[in-house]
Amino acid sequence: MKNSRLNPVIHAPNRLHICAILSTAGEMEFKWLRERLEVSDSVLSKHIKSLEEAGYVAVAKRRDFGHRRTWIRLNAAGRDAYTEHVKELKRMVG
Amino acid sequence: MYQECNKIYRATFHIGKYVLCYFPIWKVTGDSLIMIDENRSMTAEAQSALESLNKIGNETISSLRPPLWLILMISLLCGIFTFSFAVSEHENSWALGMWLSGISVPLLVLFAKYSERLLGVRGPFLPTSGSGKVFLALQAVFFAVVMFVGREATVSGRPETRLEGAFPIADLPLAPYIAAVIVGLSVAYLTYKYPTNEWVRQDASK
Repeated sequence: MKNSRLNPVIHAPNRLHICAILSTAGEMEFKWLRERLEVSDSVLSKHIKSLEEAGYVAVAKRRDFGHRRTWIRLNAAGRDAYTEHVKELKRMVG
Repeated sequence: MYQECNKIYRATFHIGKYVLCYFPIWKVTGDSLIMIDENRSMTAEAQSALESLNKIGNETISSLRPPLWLILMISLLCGIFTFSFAVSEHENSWALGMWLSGISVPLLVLFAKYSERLLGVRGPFLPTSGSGKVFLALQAVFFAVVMFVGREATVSGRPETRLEGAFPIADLPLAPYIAAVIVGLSVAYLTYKYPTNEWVRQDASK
């Protein structure tokens, strides 16, 4: 999409969906997110890595109830970027 | 053949390597058509992205919704709390009902949060977005007003405390029941439709 201020990191469909889910629900476990998106572990890891490198999500590994779980959440920068991205999409639709 | 020269399309005529003449042609018409097509494609793409966001938002909300029995319990207890708050006095048993329901509601909310965490979701207690905070504040004001009006109408409607020339609602004997039903139904609706407390536009079909 030329001549638009869409965020190229967020605009990829899977990453956009990750941001949408995280903005609605707070912190999510990797497994839950994978089941929601219906993608493989490796695909989700790749997208999470891209978002993490852009500084939009925070990934934490914690032991909960005896299991090691990976939690992902959208941080303030990610939330702002996602909000701006959605605003731009709405502006384009008019 | 067509060449782009200083962002102006020109038609040129060649004989061998020599350019005989050139002049701008069809630039406006051609560019406009391309621009219109691009804009249409961008708008369609943006529309499709927004629809998919709306769909995934609705699906996420559905998956985060507490079980129906829990919603019914919480809303029933909120209704009991409102009723008890309206009719309680220093020494009547409704004060106990107010305390019991007032303690039970937070415990049930904690239970809902705990089960969410087991499933792999840790929702914040307070909404993180600005619209969510405004939405929650409006809910708080709404419930406070309903409870206050229910209580005031009940108290000032009693013969021993009724003021002369009091507001007509003060004579409404069903005030605590009405307030309890309003609060109970509102809590059930809001918990069902907005389990994350975030203001999310939802499809009418959902």
